[in-house]
Amino acid sequence: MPRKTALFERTADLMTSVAWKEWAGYAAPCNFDAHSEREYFAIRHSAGLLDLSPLAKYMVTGADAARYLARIWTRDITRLKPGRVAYGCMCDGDGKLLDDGTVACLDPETFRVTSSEAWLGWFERHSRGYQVEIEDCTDRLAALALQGPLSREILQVVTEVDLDAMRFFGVAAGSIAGVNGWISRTGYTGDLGYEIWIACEDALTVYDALLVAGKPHYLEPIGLDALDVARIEAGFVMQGVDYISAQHCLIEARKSTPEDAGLGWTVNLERVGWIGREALVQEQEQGPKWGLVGLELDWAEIEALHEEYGLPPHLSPLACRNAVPVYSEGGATEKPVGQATSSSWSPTLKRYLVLAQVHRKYADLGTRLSVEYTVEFERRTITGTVVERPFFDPERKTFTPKAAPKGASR
Amino acid sequence: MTVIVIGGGHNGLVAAASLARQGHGVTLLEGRGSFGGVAAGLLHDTDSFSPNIAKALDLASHGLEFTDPAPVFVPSREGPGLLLHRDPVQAAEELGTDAEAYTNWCAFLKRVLPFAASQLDSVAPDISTTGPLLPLMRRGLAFRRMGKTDIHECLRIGPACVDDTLSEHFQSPLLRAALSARALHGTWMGPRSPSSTATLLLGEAQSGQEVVGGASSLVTALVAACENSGVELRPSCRVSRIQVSQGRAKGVTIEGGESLLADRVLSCIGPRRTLLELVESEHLPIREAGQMANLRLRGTLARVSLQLAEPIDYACRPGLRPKRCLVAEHPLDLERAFDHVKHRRMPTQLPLDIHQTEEEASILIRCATIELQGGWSDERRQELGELTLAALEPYVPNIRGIARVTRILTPADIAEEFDLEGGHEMHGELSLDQLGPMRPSMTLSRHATPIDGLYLGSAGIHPGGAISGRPGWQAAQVVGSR
Repeated sequence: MPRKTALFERTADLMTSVAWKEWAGYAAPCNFDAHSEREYFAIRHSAGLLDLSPLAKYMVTGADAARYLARIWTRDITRLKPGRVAYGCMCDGDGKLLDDGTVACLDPETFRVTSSEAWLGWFERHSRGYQVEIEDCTDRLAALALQGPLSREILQVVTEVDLDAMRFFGVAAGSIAGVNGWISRTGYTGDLGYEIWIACEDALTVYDALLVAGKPHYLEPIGLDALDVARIEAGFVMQGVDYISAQHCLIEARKSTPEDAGLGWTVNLERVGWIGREALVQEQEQGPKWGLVGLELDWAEIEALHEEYGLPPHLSPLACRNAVPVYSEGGATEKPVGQATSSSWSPTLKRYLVLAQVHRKYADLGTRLSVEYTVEFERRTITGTVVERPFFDPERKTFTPKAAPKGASR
Repeated sequence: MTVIVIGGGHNGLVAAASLARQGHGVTLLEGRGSFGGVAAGLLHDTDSFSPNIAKALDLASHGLEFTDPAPVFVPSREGPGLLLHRDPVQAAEELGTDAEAYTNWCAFLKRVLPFAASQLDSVAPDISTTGPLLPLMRRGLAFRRMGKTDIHECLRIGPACVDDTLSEHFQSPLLRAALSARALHGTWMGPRSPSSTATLLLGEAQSGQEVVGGASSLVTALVAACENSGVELRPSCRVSRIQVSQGRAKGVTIEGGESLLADRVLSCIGPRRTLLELVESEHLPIREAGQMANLRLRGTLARVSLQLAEPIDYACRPGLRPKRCLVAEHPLDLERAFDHVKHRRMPTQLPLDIHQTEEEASILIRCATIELQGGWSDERRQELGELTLAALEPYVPNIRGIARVTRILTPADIAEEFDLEGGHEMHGELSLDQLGPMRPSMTLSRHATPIDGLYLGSAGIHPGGAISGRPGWQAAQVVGSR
């Protein structure tokens, strides 16, 4: 039975749709209204406020905390400076992906780690020989995501942390609506946005204060449906959807390496001593087998296909997480060359977007592929072209109004 | 090539001498003040030391001599006890109705043990799917040559408990106790534990003649052999780190900061301590780290030393002055003692393994658990001495008058004094899943490690054993051949 987060009473109250889903053991809102479209447009035009509390959260502290995290994470955490956050992933001994998440350096011996699912057992198993303490703070620490172009203005109303000076992937401690917490400039929407980390008992205070501060800016409480569309536009992969954690795979073929899942950029094979490296060096020598690509489906073909059945083109407002086969162009009678794992119509871009894992030789920009598409219970294909990812990448995502000039000493 | 050997126990000494005789420059580092490890003041049985190694290292020239092992006396409260010779002809008179069965048992062992012994005298087979097939086929053929009847018997009794196996053959509880006691050395088992027959066969396969003068003579000869072949012996030199760079062992750092470099590093201390404490975690793949974290090494060994005003005289056999004695009248005495180990308690009735001379007795207790509830303290140490005398009293009524306890080593003391993790004299329990190609783990049993240039050669590696020298010897051959 899903548990309630610290914000349950408020989100339940605001929600008219009674649309809950289970997220990592907690009840989480899918949407607050009959439709998630308003929430989606809040993310892209004003700001959306999401209860992020079910995210698995760990405090890692101690003299060896950085060295330890550098062992289990693909990123070199020993080089992460206080006040900075690193996105990365975690592999098993065979270099297969377990999960992805962020590591925030709060001070040289204190780090906060987030992941999609619980990993305390794994963390502890590999902590032998390190002076480090690991605390699962998922139940004690609430988290809010405030995402959208107006998120800075709204958040600045309730905090004295200078948000104009906070860079992309920065993190700072401070008072938010009168309670102590942390603000990081991170998110899962590919937009300007912040995540707020506070004790569970303070969560309602902060949530309510943000709703009040956001009211003049048309802030909306948002659920997971709107977030899912936004994250596909941002080109972010999701554990359990776009790749399966190696610990849940019954067969080898289902496992992915970071390269397979488009996370190769989080990996530095030159660096030694992290779990999975040796296997990934071998993969590199042999050349990676798979790659993650962004595809854009041909809208004219979708229209024509519906026309064959005498139907107007139909689009779901929801992102689709049902994986379908991807074939080489016109090769629907042959073996698939990959699978499309997430897809969505992008209301902002007016394009049909797909995230797919395909054989390397089909991963080059401009490659045309055939993606399975079902109309009237018949499985057909639509041409998808490999395009740049992220699909949606606004300048505001990384722009910092008061950024220190490059090379300036601090 | 230069080699650093870590750990100057019997396996370290054997490995160092062997490598030096192969022409390599060898430095042997021992953390304690003297060499020999458990062979210098803890264990007494030398009958498992390999005569082939003695010959190859020319230990005879350093004064090493072998002799037939002394018979073991098992005293009894109700009869004359049993003086058990290994040789069935010599044993026949004492065994009475069991004599014929004992002759048959010894004949069976003589047929099947050469196969086991040949496995112990070679590096563990590579049974990974990528390993070569020919050596496995050779072993398979050698196994088949034992013949159908003996093969079936080995497969049947190997996983069985030693008490069942021996009860099928023998009436005398004294005989069954004496034979099963041996199966329990280095294990965490009682005679009714499954697979204790396998450890019995393993022990029997290693046993032969013993060293004249005991374990200390063996250590003296090994140290002399090392000195003679040019090994640099460095006692009181404790390694704090094995230096690894780019996945390769470069040398060691000694406590105090001195750094020693070498082409190869051979560790003859426990595999778990080597890989989890001396190697930085970053350099060890998680598979091996997990294997070592799961290695079982719960020590059950304690030792009590007695000074004797006059020789021990057993009431059931006055005038007999046996060198070796086992106090346990029935296999169930051993089983009950193990029950206490299992529940982390001090046994109420201690089985004793005694080596004695006219002036002193050294008593090994193999059922004192290092995991004792509440931990080992001065009081529990004294209690162990008291229980030892109490266990002897029914058989030697005047023991309190003639004996003075001079030293008591609890498992915790042994861990401390002999530098043994878990107080385990073999750096890893003997059990089916920690034997052969699985000792200490599937990927570490062939002496090489995932770290280039770092090798393992203690009793924690195939073939294990007490004072056998085989792991050190085989490791030296592997190191020398690369």
